[in-house]
Amino acid sequence: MNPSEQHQNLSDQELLQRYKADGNGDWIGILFDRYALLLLGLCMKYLKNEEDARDSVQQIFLKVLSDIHKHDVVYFKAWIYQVARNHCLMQLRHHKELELKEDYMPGTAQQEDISTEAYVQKDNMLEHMEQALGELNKEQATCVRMFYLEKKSYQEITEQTGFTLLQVKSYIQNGKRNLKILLEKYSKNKR
Amino acid sequence: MNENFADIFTQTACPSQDQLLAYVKGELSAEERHEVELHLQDCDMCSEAVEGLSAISRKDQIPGWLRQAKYNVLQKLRKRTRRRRKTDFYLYIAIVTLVVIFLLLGFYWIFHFVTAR
Repeated sequence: MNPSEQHQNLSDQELLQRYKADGNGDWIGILFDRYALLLLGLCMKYLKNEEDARDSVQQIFLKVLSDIHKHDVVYFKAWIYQVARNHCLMQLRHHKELELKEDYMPGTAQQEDISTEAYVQKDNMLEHMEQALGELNKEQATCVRMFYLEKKSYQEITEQTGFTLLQVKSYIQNGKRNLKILLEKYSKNKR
Repeated sequence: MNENFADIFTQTACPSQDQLLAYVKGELSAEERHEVELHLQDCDMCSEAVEGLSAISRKDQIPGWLRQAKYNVLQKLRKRTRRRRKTDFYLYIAIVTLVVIFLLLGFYWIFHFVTAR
């Protein structure tokens, strides 16, 4: 059976299993279409060189494919992310002899699994959202409100607030983290 | 309670590659941009990828690069598969030859043993 459009909906794991079973490269072609752009961006972010990034996309894919038979991959995206980061860090070390920390792990399958208990906990947390938003500093509160509540894009927020794009991203990210901490604190006090 | 509060801790699925490329090329509407950015807040891989893709100067050439890269990867993969199949074939031939030699030797030995008696 030849891979065609009807197979585009197969999960990453199913595609890998089919490739392992019949060795048909077309299954890998579908996976490549899903991840090549992400890999290109990721490599570009670390290597800061278009040509190196393009070469790395191919090298990473070939590495992943040669390792496929050695590992039982459950969550392909997290795995390829880890392989890509390691590849880029190795390249940087090799070329520039930079010492980079590797204290970060990508998302795993477990992150996608939200239990019922987590939903209930989330509902309890959301009760105090308004109060928590009031406790954020002015910049974070403004950006979080505009982004999540008014559904504005980064660009619109930068235009309306005068903050830079980096500041907007950082205020949203830090604001969200602080909100979570505050809401967890309220939930604990309530119990 | 504002119904959008839930969005703050809701994780969304990764955008398609076309959507992501359109995002970095600035071709999405404000609403579509917001949808992508909602995801970027929670997905480190997409977020880092967007950062890198934004730094590429010739974004129009990206689809062409990826097509070429895909072609190269699939070519190398086919070569690898062919090489592996070739090795498997030679191994198979070697095993069959050995089995035939042992069988012939066996028959010869039995024939020799029987006629000698």
